[in-house]
Amino acid sequence: MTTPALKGRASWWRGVYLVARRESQATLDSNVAVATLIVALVASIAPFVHGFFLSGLVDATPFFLALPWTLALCLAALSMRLWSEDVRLRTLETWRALPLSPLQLVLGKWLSALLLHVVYLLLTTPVLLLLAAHGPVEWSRIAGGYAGSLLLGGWLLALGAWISSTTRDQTTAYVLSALLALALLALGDLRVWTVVDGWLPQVQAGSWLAAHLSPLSACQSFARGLVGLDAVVLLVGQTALYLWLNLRSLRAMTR
Amino acid sequence: MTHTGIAVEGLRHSYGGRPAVDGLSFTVQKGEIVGFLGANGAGKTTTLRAIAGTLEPDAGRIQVAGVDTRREPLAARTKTGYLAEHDGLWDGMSAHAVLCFHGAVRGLEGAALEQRLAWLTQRLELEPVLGKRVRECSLGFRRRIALAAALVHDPEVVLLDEPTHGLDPLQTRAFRRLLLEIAPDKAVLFSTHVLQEVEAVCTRVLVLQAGHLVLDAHLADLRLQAHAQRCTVEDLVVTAAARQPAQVVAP
Repeated sequence: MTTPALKGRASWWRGVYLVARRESQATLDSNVAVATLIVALVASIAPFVHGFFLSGLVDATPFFLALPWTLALCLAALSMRLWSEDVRLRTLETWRALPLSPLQLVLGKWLSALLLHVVYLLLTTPVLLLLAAHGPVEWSRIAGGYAGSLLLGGWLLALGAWISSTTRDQTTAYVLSALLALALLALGDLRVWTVVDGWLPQVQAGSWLAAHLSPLSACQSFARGLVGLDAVVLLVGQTALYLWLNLRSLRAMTR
Repeated sequence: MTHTGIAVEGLRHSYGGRPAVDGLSFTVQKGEIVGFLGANGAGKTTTLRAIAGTLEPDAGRIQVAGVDTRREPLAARTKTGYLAEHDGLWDGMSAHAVLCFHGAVRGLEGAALEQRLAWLTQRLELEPVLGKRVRECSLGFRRRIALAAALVHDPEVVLLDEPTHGLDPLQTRAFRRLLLEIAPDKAVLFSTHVLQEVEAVCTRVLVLQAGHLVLDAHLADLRLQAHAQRCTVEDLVVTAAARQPAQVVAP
C-alpha cells in the first residue's frame, strides 16, 4: 500500500465547515428537525395570517413581535441534541480524538443549527409576498425584523447549545433551554420588570435587567425597523458569552 | 529524524479522588506492537485516552511521534489513530460517510481519500456494509468500521482499546494480519484481555495493576523465562498482575 500524501488535518475553517455539515446531516436525519420547522412555521405565521384576513392588517410588525416567544420554544428543540446526544451515544470521545479544536466543534455545531434557523426564516418570506401584494410595505421594518430574528436565533441556539453540553438527557436540555430563554425574554417585558423594580425600588433591578440582560427590547426595536448598535452588541455579546460557556463546559467534560 | 512512537512520563489521573493511573511511565518504539494488559479498572483505558488526547490527565508528560500532547494537542492527534472501547460511531451515518468524514477532517480528499478507503475496505472486508447506516451493522462490522476510521489517515501511532471485542475468529485473524502488515512503520499499543492475542502479534507486553506498571517485558524474554520455569507465558503474566506495584520488572 502506498500511503497517500497527508496534510494531517483540514484547515481551520474547513474543519468548522465539516463539523457543521455532519451535524446538519444528523439533524435532518432526525424527525425532530422537520417537525420543529413545521411547528415553528405554523405557530409564527398563523396568527399573522389570521389578523391579515380578519382585520385587514397589512403590517409585519406583529409577526416579528411574537416571533421571540415562538422561537424560544422551537429552537430549544433544535439545540437540545447538539451535545447531549454525543454524551449519551459516547461519540463525544470521537470528536475529541479528531484534530479539531474545541472552538471548531462549538462553532460548527452552532452554525449547523443556525443554518436550519435561516431555512426557517426563508420559509416565512411568503408573508412578505402577501403583504407586498396588498399594499405598500415598509421594507426597512421587514429587513430590521429579519435581522433581529437572525440574531435572536443565534442567541437562542448558543444558549441551548450550552445547556445541552451540561446534560446527557435531551428532554432535560429542551426544558431547561426553553425555560431559561422564556425567563430571559420575560425580564424585558414591561409587566415583568416593573414588578421586579417594585420589589427593590432603590436598586431598580428590573429595569437594569431588562436593559442589560433581556434581548426582548432589542428584538422589539428590530421589529420596528430600528437597528441600534446597542441592540446588536447585546445580542452578539450574549451569544459569544454562551458559546464561551459551551466551550468551558466541553473542556470540563475531558477531565 | 527518528523519535519514540509513544513516550509517557509520570502520568497521573484520578476520578473523584480515586487514582486510576498513578505515576505511569513507559515508551513504545516505532515498529513495536505492545500489548496492554490488566484487570478491569487497572487504568488501561484511562492511559489510552490520555495518549489519544480525549482526556486531560492530572499530571504527567506524553509525547506521540515526538509531539507533546499538552503543548500541541491537535498536531499530536494528527499523528494518532485511536479506536475507543465503545466504537464511537454516529449511528445515522453510512459506513462510507463515516470514513469520508474522518478522512476529510484529517485533510484527505479526492483520489488520495478514495485510494485509502479502497485499501481499508479491502483489508477489513467492509464492502458489504459501506452503503449501510451504522445502526444497521452488526457489532463485528461496527468494530471494523471504527478501526478503519482510526487508520484512515495512516497514523504513526495506533492506540486500540480492545480492538477484537465483538469480532468472530475469522475477523480476529484478519485483524491480526492487518496489524502485522501496518506495524513496521508504526508504534502500536493495544489493550486486551485475551493473552493469546498478545502472544500472536505483540513484541512486548505491559501489565498494569491499580494504575501502576507491574510488568514491562519482551515476549521473547517471557517465553524463555516460561520455558526455564516450566510454566506458560500466561502464568507469568497472571503472576505479574497479582504483584504489588513496587515490584516492577524491567524489560
